[in-house]
Amino acid sequence: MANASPLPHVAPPARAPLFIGLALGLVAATAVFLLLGTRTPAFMETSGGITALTPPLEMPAFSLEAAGEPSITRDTLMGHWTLLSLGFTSCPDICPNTLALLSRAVTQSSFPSEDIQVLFVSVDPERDTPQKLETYAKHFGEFVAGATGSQEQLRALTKPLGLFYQKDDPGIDPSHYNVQHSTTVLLVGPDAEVVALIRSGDVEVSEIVATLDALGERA
Amino acid sequence: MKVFVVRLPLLAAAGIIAFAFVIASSIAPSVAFADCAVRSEEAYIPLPPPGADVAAAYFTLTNDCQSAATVIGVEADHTESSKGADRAGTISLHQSSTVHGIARMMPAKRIPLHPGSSVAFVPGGLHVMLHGQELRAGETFQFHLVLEDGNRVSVLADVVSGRTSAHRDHQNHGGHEDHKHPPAGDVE
Repeated sequence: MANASPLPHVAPPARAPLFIGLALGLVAATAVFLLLGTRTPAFMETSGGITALTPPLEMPAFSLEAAGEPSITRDTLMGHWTLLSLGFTSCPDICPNTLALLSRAVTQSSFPSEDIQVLFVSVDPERDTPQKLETYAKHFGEFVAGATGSQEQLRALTKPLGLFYQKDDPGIDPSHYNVQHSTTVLLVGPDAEVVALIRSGDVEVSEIVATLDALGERA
Repeated sequence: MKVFVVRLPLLAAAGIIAFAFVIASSIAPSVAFADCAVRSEEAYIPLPPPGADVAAAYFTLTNDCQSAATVIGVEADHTESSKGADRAGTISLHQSSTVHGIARMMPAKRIPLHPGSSVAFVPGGLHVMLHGQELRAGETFQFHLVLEDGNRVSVLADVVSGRTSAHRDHQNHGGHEDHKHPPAGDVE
């Protein structure tokens, strides 16, 4: 095959890669520009693992059961800040680590802990009672509360907010199952509006602390 | 016939190299196995909150050997002296992952350990899930990872109170997103 390529034909292909490279570069740059432009709506400002929502997103009407108090509703979120996290107590890994992360952030922040609540919403009402959730939540701090409700009650909260949960098929033992769920933590302001989304698996404690500190200074 | 003149030495060289490989590979494993091991380090179990009947063990598993190994299971420690293992409980290998903001958990059936490499069992990734085990802060819990070749790797984990643990602060910066602690891509 080497004899089939006479020398004069070798030179032009050598220049081709340059043009191809330039063309590809231009296409790539355009693609990145377009993707960034369309993927990040103007009202979202993302910094690290936290996305601020401007304007804030109003919490839907909902009602959940918590131990020892009347139902938790949109109205009971008024007047203080809330970090809302979905999960379930039979979750060995992600849920307790998320609560530990939020608890550490609140503790480390200068924001007064009496003005903020971490609300752990169980998406596994079959196994998690309000009483069980209360004991579970308090392990992470006095400012941590647990709540749950029927599937209907839960969906009234999750669906309008774009949060997701779904029970996996149990294994051999019907009491052993996992519940897939959104890991996004909502930062809810004193007007019951979601002001920021925290990607709990993708955020440093220091980022949440800085956000809470900034809120404290503004107040 | 000039071609043959050129190629014969090459063939001979290739043959010698191939022979050397065969010899080397037949000797190497015995040397490697003599003083190598799959070992676990910094094993800990955050004390689960009251009411939770599940917990997760985290550790780093390192394969010092020059041959690959594969974790295919986990067993509780059932020896008389073991305080932790409760026969009623279960223990299993799991992998959490967060994809598009949704947390999932799957059983991990095979965890390959490449020669000379480490696999991290971390929050939000691979972990040993304990179900129905009695755990107390300050105590230890022992279990054994089962390798495909029949060997066992013993893991002695400290049960730590999550809120005061140095392990946790060290391990949990950034928590459990899949891309921060990429699980071994070939876990099945």
